[in-house]
Amino acid sequence: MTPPPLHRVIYVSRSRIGGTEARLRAEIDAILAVARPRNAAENITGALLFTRTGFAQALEGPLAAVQATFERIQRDPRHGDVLVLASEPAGQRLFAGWAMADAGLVAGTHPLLSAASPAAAPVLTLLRDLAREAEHLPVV
Amino acid sequence: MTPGTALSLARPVRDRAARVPAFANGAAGEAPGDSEDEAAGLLAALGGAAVLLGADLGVDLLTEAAARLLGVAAHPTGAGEKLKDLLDRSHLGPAARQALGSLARLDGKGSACLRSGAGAKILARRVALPHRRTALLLTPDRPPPEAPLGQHADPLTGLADRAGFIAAVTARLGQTPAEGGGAFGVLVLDLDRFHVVNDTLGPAIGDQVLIAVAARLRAALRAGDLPARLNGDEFAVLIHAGTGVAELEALARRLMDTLGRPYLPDGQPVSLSLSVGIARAPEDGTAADTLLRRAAIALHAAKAAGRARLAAFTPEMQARSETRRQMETDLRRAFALRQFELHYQPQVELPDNRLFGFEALLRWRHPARGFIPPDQFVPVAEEVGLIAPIGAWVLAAACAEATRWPAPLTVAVNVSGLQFEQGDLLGAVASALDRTGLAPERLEIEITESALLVNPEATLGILHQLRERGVRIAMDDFGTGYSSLTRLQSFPFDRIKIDRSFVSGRRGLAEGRAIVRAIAGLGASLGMRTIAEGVETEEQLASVRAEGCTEVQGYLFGRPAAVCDLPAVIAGFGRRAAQVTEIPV
Repeated sequence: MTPPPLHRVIYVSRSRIGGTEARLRAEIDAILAVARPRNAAENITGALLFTRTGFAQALEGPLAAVQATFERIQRDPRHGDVLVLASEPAGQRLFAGWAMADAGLVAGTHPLLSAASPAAAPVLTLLRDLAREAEHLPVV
Repeated sequence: MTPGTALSLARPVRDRAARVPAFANGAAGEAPGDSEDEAAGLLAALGGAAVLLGADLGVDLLTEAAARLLGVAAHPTGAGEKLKDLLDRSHLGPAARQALGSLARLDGKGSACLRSGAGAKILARRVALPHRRTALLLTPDRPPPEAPLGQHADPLTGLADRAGFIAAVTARLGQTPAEGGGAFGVLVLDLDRFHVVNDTLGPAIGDQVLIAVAARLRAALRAGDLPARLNGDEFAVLIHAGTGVAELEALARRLMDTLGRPYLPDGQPVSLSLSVGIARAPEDGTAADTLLRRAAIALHAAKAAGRARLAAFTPEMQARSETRRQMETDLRRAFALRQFELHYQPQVELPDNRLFGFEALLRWRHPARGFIPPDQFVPVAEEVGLIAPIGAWVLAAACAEATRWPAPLTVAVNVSGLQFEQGDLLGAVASALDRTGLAPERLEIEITESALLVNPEATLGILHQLRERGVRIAMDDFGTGYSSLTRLQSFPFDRIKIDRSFVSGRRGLAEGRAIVRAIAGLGASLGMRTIAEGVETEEQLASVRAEGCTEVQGYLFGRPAAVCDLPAVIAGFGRRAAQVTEIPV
């Protein structure tokens, strides 16, 4: 049986988590702790990057699972001003093995993410590079 | 008093004679039964839910509100019913029945939280009364969950439909504070420009978005709030608690945030914004349709102020809305009764002041109010969807009139930006030309810059098709809006109309002249003719001529004239031209 076609979404959003860097880190850990088992179960892979002011995330998997995950993320009050950079069929997984790679905290505001409408491709490359750098081992 | 006759009381259960001895040792002079009746009447008047029990835990009194909370018939069920029997026929579960029974047997004060069969929580408090009597005061912790929607469910989203929402609001209005009634809020939410989603991505995607909107709405609300889909892309919510204006506005903002985030129907990102109108009960109304209408009026005000906004209802909105509705009624009648007329103002070519055409100007001859200027009724006509039919009539009437003028006199017709969106402008132009036989190059369509703002690609497409047919296109009111050079370059306009405010000197003489010069220069370099509007004096004529305008229009050459006066106007210009040619140079 052929697996369902892959879909990938890349978005950026503004963080609504206030307080210290430690608080931000704790929230991100909480987000990942919830997201990873669920993503693994739903065959979703991807990476999450955060700065003091915002998030960038890539989600890839079967369309229905990506839609459901994206919808869940939209209901999260910890961010807002969501901007979808790309939502398209994907030939292959770029984050295979990562139920949600922690691309980590980028100091300050990353120029790629603070642009009025960032381009999808460089954000995706950034996510991928940071994910590889930050997590030496795939997370299952 | 006969048992069972007291208003709104599910009255006793036992016979007064049998009861009297229990109270007979009370204060002299007043029959205890009377004060009990007073207490019962007071409770009923307050709408409270209470069960009064005698020393033997027999039910002396069951208020109607309590009967409703317990799910028992409010009518007397026979003398001497015991609390246990009452509870047995209630919809309370066994645990709740036991808890309430134990509470009743307590000494002194106490309280218990019960769960009714319908899933609602009831808070019960025991109050000890003299003569070993007991009162159980019941308050709903939440309103009972809405009855299953059944036929009142919207088939697409599963939310309540309009009828279900109105029924729920009506039911809520009928509840007393003790039953969880009292103040509440009604929000009406509308997705901004949702028709664009349907038009560009198709109704199947539109439906997916509506389903997702409904799901987010449901998830964002608290238990006890009721979401509904009124129709199309309009939703409503009954807000159970937190009903101050500030609280409702905060909730509305939260909904605008959550529901305004992107959706991924079929994997395609769709962005929406929404506008919200707020009404509050009882301040803004005590009937469901009033509340809904007032929330819709507030919504309308929010949309009029720009989309992605919220507004809470105010009485001023009501007044404005009534004026607008009256205007709408009058407009529809005016259209049916042909109260519209076109007047025609001469347009003159420089330098020899030769008449080359007329601008058709819409006039509404109101039977009571006289002539109403277009700036007062066109916005309403646009809003209520009358602009397309009125615009089509204007085109047909203007073309018909122009055929009576000597060729090549032209007629210029103003077209609203909405006619590009709502109506079949191409069809209206084609039918006006075909039916009257007017040569297309004798018709000029005037559009404002704002018409190009909304949907530039579609609008430019229509302009090009008009041009292919031979119709001329003018840019109206240039200089007043964005005055974008890019937009001027986006289409080869035949003519730029310079707004009268620059000609009259209202914006400062020097500044006005400078702008007229700039626009005339722009027109010359782009190969477009420039016509100055509102020329009233010889000085103004000399000025716009000196700045390079190729044409003028204004009171100096003629006011807008009724159809019957046009032959004289045209003949007058003919004589002037003849005089000019006769004067030896």
